[in-house]
Amino acid sequence: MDRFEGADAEVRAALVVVAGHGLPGDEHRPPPAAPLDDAQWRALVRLVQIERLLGLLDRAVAAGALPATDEQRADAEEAAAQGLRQVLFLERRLLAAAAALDGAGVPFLVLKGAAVARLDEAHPSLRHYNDVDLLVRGDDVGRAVAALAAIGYGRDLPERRPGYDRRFAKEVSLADDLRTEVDLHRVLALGAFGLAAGPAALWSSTDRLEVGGTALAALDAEGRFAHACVNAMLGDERPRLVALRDVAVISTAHRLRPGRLGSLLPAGRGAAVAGAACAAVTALLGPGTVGAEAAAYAGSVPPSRWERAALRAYRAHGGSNTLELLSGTMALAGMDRLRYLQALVVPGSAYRAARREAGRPREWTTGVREVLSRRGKSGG
Amino acid sequence: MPGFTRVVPAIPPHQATIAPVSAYRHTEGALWHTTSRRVLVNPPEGATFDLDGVAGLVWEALDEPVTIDDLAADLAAVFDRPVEEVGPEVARVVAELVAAGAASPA
Repeated sequence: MDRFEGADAEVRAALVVVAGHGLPGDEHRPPPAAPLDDAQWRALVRLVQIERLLGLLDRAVAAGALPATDEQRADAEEAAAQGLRQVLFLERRLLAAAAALDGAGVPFLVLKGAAVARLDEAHPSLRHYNDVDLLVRGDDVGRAVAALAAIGYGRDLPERRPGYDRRFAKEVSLADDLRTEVDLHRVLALGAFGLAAGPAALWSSTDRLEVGGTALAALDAEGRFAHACVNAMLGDERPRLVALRDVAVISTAHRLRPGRLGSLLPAGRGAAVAGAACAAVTALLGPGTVGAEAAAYAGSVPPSRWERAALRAYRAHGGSNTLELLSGTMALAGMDRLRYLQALVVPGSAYRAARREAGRPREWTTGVREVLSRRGKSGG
Repeated sequence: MPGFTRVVPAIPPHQATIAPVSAYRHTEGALWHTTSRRVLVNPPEGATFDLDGVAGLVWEALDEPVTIDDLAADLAAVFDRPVEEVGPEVARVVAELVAAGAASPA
């Protein structure tokens, strides 16, 4: 199914112009010949909001890359301003979280939107985002959660079983009373790809960014690229345009080192995710929108049998949440595999109770239903 | 000069006197972003406010320490206006930014 089902051809064309604004290859992204009519414009703005591309809509319209009426220009600018108010609020929360973690002696790296905005996009105001994402080491997750609790953040769910967060979890999600989310990541991906790659390589080379005069550490360019590929191809049922744009922007803004890419997305254990992401970017935004080094790496390694099997577990490739989690067993062996399975199948009572209290569906009932539903669809 | 120092919404009124020969710059810890038309400023303490027109240019110039006299001279040249006309307006914007906690003496 198409994410943009229902949008007409001109709205789609406009959306692609917005997503690709400032990237090479404008000739492959022809805009509509005239301003969209009111209904089309509303549809475009709605999609742009969902895809977190408001900053780009404003700039594309202002630059004349997308035809628009005066009213639409003002509308796009106001929408971008609203989005940036949220970004400013989140940057304050990022600085507060950074101070709390520093105070507790917990090293961390800034991930995703906040890092891409300041390290990869031509202008930090182009990349909007909705939460704060940080990477911490597994051994530090407990102290990080405690440090953030001191400034008002609480976990959405308790740990599945003792030791799960430190060893197996992709992330721990926290929120404050205003529902501002801070996600503490341990690895970049859920399931097989996250557990296979592990966290060590993420920390071996880093960049620095500045927010309001405060220097913060972030993943290096290859790490941000790997994360963008994972978000694009594994995170959602369909790739988000903002994630695909991140893949394009990061790979064209830097000369990515093949050796470093190989340590983050190893051949046979993750390179296929880069291959899929680069192919999706090229299909959407046109030739030349993936940097040469990234394209060469992605094209140099054919997907392994392990990768093909793992990819099928992810929602973007026809899998389900349950299969994503279960795919982790492909990357584990011995007691680790048993402990992981135990945590998935028999989580602790506090975890189960918290899920019930939060009104979340029963994991395995829902999981079995999801799997059967997918099988039914693929069979039909 | 439409939009020359329009501040949206208005920064709280001030009575501060600022020295035209002193250098000013963004307050440490101030955050800001831009759209195609305006600057959104979040001072370390206080609410986010918007600047448009030349007030936005004044803000961007304060990324580095700059005196009001120098800034007024630059903007007068850019807009081909007498510096005597531009200077008081620049001083007013800077004073309001100082009052809002977004700019400080360098």
